[in-house]
Amino acid sequence: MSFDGDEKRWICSRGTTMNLNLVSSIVKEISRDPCLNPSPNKGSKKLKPDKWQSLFDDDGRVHGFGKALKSILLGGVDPSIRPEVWEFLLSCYSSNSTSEYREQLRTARRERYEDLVRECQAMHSTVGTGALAFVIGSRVMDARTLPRDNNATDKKETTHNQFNSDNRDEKEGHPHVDNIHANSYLNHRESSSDSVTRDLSNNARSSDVCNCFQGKNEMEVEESYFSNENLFDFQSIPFTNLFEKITPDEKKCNLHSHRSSLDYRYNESLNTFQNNNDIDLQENWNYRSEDDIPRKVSDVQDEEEATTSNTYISGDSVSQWLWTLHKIVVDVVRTDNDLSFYGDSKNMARMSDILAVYAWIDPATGYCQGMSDLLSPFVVLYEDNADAFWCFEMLLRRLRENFHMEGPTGVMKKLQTLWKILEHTDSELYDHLSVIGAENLHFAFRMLMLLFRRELSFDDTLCMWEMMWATDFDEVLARGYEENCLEALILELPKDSNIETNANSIINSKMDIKDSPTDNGNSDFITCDKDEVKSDSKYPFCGLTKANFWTKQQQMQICSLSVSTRSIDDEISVFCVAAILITNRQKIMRETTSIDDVIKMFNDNLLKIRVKKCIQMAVKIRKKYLYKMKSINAGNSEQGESAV
Amino acid sequence: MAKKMDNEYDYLFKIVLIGDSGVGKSNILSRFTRNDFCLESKSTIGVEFATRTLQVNDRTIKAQIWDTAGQERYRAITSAYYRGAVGALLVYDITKKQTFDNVQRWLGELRGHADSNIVIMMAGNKCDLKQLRAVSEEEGQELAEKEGLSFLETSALEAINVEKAFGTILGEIYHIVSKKALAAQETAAAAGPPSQGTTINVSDSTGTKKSCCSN
Repeated sequence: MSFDGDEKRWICSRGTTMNLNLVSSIVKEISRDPCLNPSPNKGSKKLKPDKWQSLFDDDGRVHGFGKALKSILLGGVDPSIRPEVWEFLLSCYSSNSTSEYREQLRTARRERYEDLVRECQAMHSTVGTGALAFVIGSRVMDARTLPRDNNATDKKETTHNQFNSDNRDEKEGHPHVDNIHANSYLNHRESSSDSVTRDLSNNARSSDVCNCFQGKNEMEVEESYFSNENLFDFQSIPFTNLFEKITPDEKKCNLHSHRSSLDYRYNESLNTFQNNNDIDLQENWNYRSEDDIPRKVSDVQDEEEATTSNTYISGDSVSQWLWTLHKIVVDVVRTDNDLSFYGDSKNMARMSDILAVYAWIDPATGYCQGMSDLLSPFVVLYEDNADAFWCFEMLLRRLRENFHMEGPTGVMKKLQTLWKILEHTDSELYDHLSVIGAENLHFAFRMLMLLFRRELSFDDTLCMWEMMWATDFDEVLARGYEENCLEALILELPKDSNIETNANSIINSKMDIKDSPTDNGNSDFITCDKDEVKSDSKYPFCGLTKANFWTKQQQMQICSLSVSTRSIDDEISVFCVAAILITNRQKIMRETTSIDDVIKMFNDNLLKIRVKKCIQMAVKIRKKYLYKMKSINAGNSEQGESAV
Repeated sequence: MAKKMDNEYDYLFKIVLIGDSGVGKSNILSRFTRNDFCLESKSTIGVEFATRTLQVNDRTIKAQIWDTAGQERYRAITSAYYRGAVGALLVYDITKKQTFDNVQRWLGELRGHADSNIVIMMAGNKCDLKQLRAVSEEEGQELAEKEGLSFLETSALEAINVEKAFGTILGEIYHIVSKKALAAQETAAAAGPPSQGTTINVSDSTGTKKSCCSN
């Protein structure tokens, strides 16, 4: 059998490799800044600056946030006030915080973010510098962009000449600087046997980096981390001590053990890290494992000590983070690269930094493919990385379960809910999907995972998001997210007049919520809970502060109530997917005869999605569904009673 | 129109692309089905597939190639797609040893979820990156022999061996299917009146007469 017969007809539609410079310059010309300029044409119904400003009192508290929410539900937020409004929508700030307090909190958050960046910078020098961690790990790192030496390119298949010559043309179009980087990398590879030693001697910087590490083993490990910087000639930046937060006594007794545990675990790590997206770090790892195994583990006891202690930064977590950083960069360069904004590599680096910091403070979640899609809008919207980071983090508090590895993930649960929703709201479509074997609804996976990022344009996504958040806005639920605050992000603001402010804010916010157009029946809970909450408010609410501002008992109560009143089940995103399915029901029922057809239809974005309509319909469907569920449950309990 | 084309085939073979993330699965897919390569293709979230229709002998074979996310935590959704697969292309990246080491894990995955008769080919992708090679061709060959897999080194970028890899898998599947068909015919012939039968000559090879991109 031959498959080579008609190669020539397969002329590549876009060229075998894209000329990146050319493409990005075209995109730059035709694209406008997607989300910061107000769009004059379709400005009829949305939250506009004048209305928004009119809601603030002299202290900067928002009065009647519900009114703002209503406006947002009509058509989103005017792009000029989007960054500010989003912070409230995501519960970064309570609507009743004063502007002074918010400023204080913002400052504290920025400082904390800077601290975290410095921690990460100590592990990899590029973080926080505006340079991508592994420049040549991305599109430009791909060594296929190199001028090739002739001996290495004897082609196996002559039928591919057409493509090969195309490739060569493309390659020549690439920036020279990348070639230089890649070349130095190649040189390194050729003499890899002595590279550690060479790096060690050249790299005084590295040994300064973690001067707390003593002993031969540690230095070797260190070098394998930092040799990258040498190779690629990254600008020299001052390192901070990774462990500077640890008291000197702790350092003495723990650091050595961390490092030896790290050394020992290289082996293990090689088996642990399943996903590799890059070359250079991988190379280091490989070669360490080949050259240094079997390695003598000097003190197993030390290692055990290190692993049992959670308070110290273990070498294992450092190595895991470095690995993650790799994966991040590979995805960052291919995220929203049609936006002119990301034509600037500094902006890509911002994205990479934020993801890297997040992965560092939340190693259980780390980095998962798709997170870059979720972060990207924040990087575009916020000039300050810290602000973008906090918003992203607040978003992830809602979505974190999607990225968990163990058990059914958030998305899988949502798909189950979606199936139930269809059953109770569109039985015809439900039947059709059952018949064609599409019960698992996997075609909706990406929508729920990336919140419609791949289905909608960038602008439409922003609108969709803010409308979804406005629909689901609930400060009570936000307190549940408060409980989820990652340890590294807990801030304590000085106790000052703001405490009073925030005690008030909780009360006021409740009043607000009653006004707000949420459809999920939470208001019952809000009123009954009111008295208990206000009495114990010692710390600012929604300030990512110490989580103990409710008593344990109240926390339990709030948690259970939150779960019962609103759970992952009735998050608006699931109903949005239901709305999309139902809106397109005719097309789906007419054109699909198997789940494959549905998957194709979704992946190729063949469905009509109109943001406003979708949200409006989702709200209706949710109402209908919750009503049905309520009556079903009531019926069940009656039956149960009569059976007894 | 696409629909009409879709229905014109004698066999539909489902093939899954598996392997760690970043090894080039999506580009292998686009090379085979659209003859396209994009260095910056977005990460695959969930599952995707594309089809290409080929002519083998006088038979039209529709190859439906499933592309799945390589990141481990997406397994919950990807594992569902082994069902019905008759072929698998297990891809690693010759410049990343780890992706080669993980081949065993993926084989385990296949054994756990896929049909036991699934035709598996292992592909060491990115073979154009000779200078960065971390896994030798011999190593790949050795593992393939040990595991009883077919093996090729491929480059989606330079369109090296991608056709051949899928061709081998499809050919092997076709061989099995037609052998089964023949066996069934023989049984039928022995048992009762002869049915109309086309003799399928598997060893003959013809060029691809028809190519189809489902997009």
